[in-house]
Amino acid sequence: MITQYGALLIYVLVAFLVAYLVASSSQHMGPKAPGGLKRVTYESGIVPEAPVKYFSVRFYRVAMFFMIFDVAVMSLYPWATSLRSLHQAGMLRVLAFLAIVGLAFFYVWNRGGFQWD
Amino acid sequence: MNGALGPEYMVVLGVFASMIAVMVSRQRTIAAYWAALAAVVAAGIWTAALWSSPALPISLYAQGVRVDLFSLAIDGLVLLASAGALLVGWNDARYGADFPALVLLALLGMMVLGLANNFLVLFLGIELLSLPLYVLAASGGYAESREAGLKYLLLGAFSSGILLFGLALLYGASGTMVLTQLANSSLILPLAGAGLALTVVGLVFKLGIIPFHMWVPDVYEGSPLPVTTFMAFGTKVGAAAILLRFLFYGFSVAVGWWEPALGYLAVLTMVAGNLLALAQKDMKRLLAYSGIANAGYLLVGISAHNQAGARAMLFYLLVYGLAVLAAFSVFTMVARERNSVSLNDLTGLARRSPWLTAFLAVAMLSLAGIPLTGGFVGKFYLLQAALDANEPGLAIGLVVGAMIGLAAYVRPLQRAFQGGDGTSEAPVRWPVAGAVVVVIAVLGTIGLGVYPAPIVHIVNHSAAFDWLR
Amino acid sequence: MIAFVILAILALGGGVGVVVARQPVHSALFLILNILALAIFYILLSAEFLAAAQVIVYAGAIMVLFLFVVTLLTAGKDDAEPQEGLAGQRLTAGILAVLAGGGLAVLGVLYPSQSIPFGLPPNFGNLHGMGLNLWNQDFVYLAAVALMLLTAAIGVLVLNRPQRRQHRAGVKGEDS
Repeated sequence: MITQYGALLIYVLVAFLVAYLVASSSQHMGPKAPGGLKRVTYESGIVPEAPVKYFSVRFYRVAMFFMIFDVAVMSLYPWATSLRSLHQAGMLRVLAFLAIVGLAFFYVWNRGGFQWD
Repeated sequence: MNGALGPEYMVVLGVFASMIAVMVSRQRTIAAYWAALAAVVAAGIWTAALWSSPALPISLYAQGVRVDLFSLAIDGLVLLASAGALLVGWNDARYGADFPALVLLALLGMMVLGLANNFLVLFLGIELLSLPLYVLAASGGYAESREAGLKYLLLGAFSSGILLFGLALLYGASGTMVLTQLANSSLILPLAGAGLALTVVGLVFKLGIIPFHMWVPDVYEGSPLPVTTFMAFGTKVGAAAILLRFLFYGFSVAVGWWEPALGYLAVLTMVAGNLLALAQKDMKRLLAYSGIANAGYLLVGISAHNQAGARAMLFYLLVYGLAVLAAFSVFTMVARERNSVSLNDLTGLARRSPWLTAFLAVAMLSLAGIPLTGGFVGKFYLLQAALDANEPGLAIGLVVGAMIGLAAYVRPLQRAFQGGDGTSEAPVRWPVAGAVVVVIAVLGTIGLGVYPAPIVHIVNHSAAFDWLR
Repeated sequence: MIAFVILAILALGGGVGVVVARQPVHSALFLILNILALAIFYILLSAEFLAAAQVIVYAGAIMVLFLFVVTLLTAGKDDAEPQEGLAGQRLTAGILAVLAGGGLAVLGVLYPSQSIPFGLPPNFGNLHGMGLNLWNQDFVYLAAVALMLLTAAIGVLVLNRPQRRQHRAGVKGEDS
């Protein structure tokens, strides 16, 4: 059971290693000049303003829609792995499922839920 | 299939139709309301047609769903509740165009609860019922409504967790999900006992029985008036139906485990709920505590655990629902732009609008259980069931609760008949939809009090649990 | 067994970290550690669907929501520890948690579990088995879940109502 995930484990380890190497390469290889403007959070030449006081609740709306979409997609995983044994009925059922979720998203779209004012 | 789930399909189609109407119609709100009402009526007709079907009871989905006369009676009750809620909030800009679709979704959950014969269906029904109600409670847009929605969501999610944990333990203990397949021998004691306790707590929470009632007054007070109407009637029907299904179909094999506990809870709820109702000044809070007390009356029917109890509970659900519909539609008319009615708003109502006051009086007297109203007959049947079951404690609790409740319900009437010179305030305006609800509900209340035989006949058939005493 | 011990340490460490971390963002990151460890537990139990759901929904979507709330709540606030509303609640909560866990352990020892009497069907819990059940005879339940997702979408619209300025200016009164 677990052995079939061994490749995945190696893949994850390699991914972490590569990410670490890329992220830390500048520290290992680049010249070091500490102090001064390096202390600023964003080294863009523009002095950052005061910390953000309000975070728009509209972001949250997007997150909620993402989550609904996520749960719908997750329900499709078992379908995708057993599509062959489900034959035509499985196809029709998945269409029905997606029709309901699709109607929800179409409704949101129509009512302006995806607009960023 | 043979159309046994027709009412449910109608409601789902109604949800879609209502959403599509909002999208395509120019007058979106009214179109959504008409689509939803049409779906409710269609589902009602289908339910009535199924009533005389010879194929009943029908089991579907590996016995997960059981369509029988009990589920059809529950269908009828919740359809009435949702029609009432839709009409009370008819085409009101405050509740927006999404209101009908959400009401229909919650209605679907209530109908599913009526026919659940499986832990999965039970849980799905509870969630289908709760999710739209969380949204509806918060849909008012003012601070109290948001607060109500948040409170309902947090406590509801908590109780759903308890319920789910209980169901998982029960499945682990018994090895079956189907209620009617639970057998005494397969119930392993500590596990099944804990599972039963947690499940019952989760369900009783939805019903609003006393140690688990904290959310009820705040949520009722904060929600918009039509939503409160729907919650007071519909949610109570759904929760009572599933509690009865779960205990009568599933746990008839282990009556001793739950019957005493529910009996004590019922007495506590009836007495304390009515006592708390005495102190209320806000009408929504008064009806919230009244709802708690009435949930206690319903629990009498369940903990009596006989056929008479089940019948009395079904009958009382209708009686209570009609009274609540009448009272809330009167309050909606009195409240107009606002979302709450206090005792002071009722002062002098008898001079301003005598008819409205008369209707309110009928509703309140029915809740109090005065003869010639449905409330009296309902309480009478419950009393009979408790005595049949040899539970004098339940009967005493019921009578004491009803006597305390009388004082609570008469107070608003007293305020309505005193004060007010009749000239300062214009009479209350009657919207057509609200007037339809209030007239039908009041006629039904009086009709049930004077000539209850037809409904008793229906109830007797639908609660024919012949394995009980 | 070795895998179990490592995963248990990771999961417990994540759980303790969630409670102990001073910054909410760090708590969220510890929660991810905990969730991932649990997901691998599920794989060890060959409950692949649960593992996938755990990673996709919890570590993906729910964590996004957590991080949004963290940003929403802590933007522009300092890290000072707020006063406890109820004196000694942390200590009480800890004691109660230990008591509850100990009670469960005692119950577990007193009543040792019995093997499940009915046996498990083939492919129990893995993706293929879930697919055969969920998209076959149990599709009704999935349809109910789809309706819940629809409820959630409408709910987001109602609670977080978008401002419609140019959209159908004629029906203004409709938005509260």
